[in-house]
Amino acid sequence: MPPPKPLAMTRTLVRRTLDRLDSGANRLYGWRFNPLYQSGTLVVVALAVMLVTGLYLLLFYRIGAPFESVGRITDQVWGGRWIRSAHRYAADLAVAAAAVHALRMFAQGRSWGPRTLAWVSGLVLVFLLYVCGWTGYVMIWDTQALLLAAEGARLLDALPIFSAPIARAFSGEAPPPSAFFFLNLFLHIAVPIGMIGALWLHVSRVARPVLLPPRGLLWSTVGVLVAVSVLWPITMDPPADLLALPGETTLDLFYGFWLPLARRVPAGWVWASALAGGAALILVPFLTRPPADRRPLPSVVDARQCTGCEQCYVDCPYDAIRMVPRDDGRGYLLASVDPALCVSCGICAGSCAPMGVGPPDRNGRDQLEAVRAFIDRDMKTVDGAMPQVVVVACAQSAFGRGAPGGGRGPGGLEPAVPRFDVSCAGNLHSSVVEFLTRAGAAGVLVSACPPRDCWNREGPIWLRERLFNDREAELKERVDKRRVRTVHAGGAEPRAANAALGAFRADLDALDAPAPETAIEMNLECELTGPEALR
Amino acid sequence: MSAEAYPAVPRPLGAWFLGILIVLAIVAFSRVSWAPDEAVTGVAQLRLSWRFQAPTVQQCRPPRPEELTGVPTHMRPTQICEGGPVPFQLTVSLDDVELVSGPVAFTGERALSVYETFPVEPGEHRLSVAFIPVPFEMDESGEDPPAWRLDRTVSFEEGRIRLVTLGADGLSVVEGG
Repeated sequence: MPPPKPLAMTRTLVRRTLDRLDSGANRLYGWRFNPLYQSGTLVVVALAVMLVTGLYLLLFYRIGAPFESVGRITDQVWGGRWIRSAHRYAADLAVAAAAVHALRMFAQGRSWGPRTLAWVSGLVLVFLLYVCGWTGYVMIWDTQALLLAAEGARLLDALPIFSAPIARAFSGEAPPPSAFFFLNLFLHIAVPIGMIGALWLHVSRVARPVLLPPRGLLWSTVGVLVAVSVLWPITMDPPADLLALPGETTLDLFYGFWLPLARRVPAGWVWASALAGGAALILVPFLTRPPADRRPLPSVVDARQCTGCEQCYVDCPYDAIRMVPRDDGRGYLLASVDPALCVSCGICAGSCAPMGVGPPDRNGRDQLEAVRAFIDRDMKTVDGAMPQVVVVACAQSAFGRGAPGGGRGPGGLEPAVPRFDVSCAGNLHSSVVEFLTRAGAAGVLVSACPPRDCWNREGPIWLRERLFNDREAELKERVDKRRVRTVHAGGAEPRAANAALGAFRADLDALDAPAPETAIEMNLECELTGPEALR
Repeated sequence: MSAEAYPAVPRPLGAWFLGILIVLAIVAFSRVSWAPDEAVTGVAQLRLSWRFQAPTVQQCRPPRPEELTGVPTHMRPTQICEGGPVPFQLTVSLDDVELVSGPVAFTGERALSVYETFPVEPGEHRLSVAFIPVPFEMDESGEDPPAWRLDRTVSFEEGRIRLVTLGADGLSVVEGG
């Protein structure tokens, strides 16, 4: 079943919006420190700040006198006001960053198949974050706390599970029991411990999870949080008065955005809306999954080509490849792809020197066949001369077919420049680059996504290592590497990509004209001969 | 060689400026001033809240022989009792306008819980509350279960809640509420 049209339109809209925001942020921060790319790791930073500041605040909190103890923390405990503020602002940052992270995964279609677990566990993490936020606000026991507690009680009382209305605990007959504040504090501490488990689950399908942003961004974030905590410390509302109607109060929109609306409608409506919203989010993996006939297929291993070198096993960003014993008597291991874990990124194809692994139609051999056809079809200009530069474009990069206008729209790649498409920069086999240069291209520019925004996690990183740092399957020494360049630019950054293209051309002008080979024979490494040969 | 589109942090000043702006936006959204409807409309509230263990009325009789058939000796009851807690009805009127009137729901044999709220215009109002047992067919004990009534003028202040509760002295309006 194809994704519903409104959903597909929403995804496109979110993607284009994020692309533009990314582009602006890249201009200021560069892709390494772009906080929008680091939204997931910023959530972890915020959680760490909450943990550290929360432990300090816990020392002074008293369940027998919640408001008074928070007041004492704010006014008397050393640094209490600032640490409380940092705790609150970090909690808000966590919600904002989690929203950006979720939107990015949704827009990029990184939410179905093997990534379903990450999506669903991410939703669980957000839910737990909200439970933490709710209990945290109630702990203060000021006006806002009473509003949240009373509304929570009203919603729970609408469920047929309690024998007596919970709302009576806040009726004013007596102060709320200490047991309530104890339970609240217990949840506020226990839920974050549960979040650690959920976080582990969230990244469990990723081979090399990145949990923290680059050091500069990490400490800048902490520094800015501390600075605003000192400059704009949070204040306290009046204490909760059980026999007063709620007056004007402060509201944290990150955690209480629902409150003004929810208080105006029956509890059943709130539950129905929450359930509908929750169900829609849970169903995203199924709604965004492409139809079966267009679903990218998982990688397969050609046992005859596999030399057991383990490079694909090392490079796979999703731990989808295992090395298993062979049953054909050869004295080395065989790569084996687990289809349930493979997202079909094709990074294994780029890592395999003998070209024995990769998604159907996208392994190294398939790419060589495609590039031969591409040269015959697209690389010859009208006068028969070879073009100066050939662009190899990752589908999601500035020059890629997934960019606005298919990468060739206004401001995109010039129509005269031939473009060889790959699904991901990490899928590109270095032999394709070698083939293009030997065929006479003066230069090959690989257009890749910014590494922190690779839809397949590590494609641009492995690409650079393979082209310039001799990582298997490396670009051979016989290729003049001055004629090869990469540019990292996202879908809304054709200008930056074109600037890199212009600079590359200028550099190529200083080199001698290339000497095209006519009958190119690629030396396929480790190729077997005799009856075991592939073709 | 790799051509980066940008240097590591191309515009540090702009980066800091935007970063601080974003954090300030977070600060602003985290402390939005909000007036709930009650604060805007300037109403008061009548709240009734109490918990009450209704007396249980039972009729007991010795078991009939056929009721003991097949029951092991050590499990044979000496009496079989039927009945349960007395149902109660709550009626609330304000200035002779009935706000609620009906039985208070039971949850098994647990104590009855009353929790009702009503918006009230500020000012003085005649409040009548009756929490009385519903006639119960098994009640042949001759003892009347307790019944409570409250009938008085109550002053409601804007933004305040008048709480009616049931204590040892019967129904009362919590002063200071």
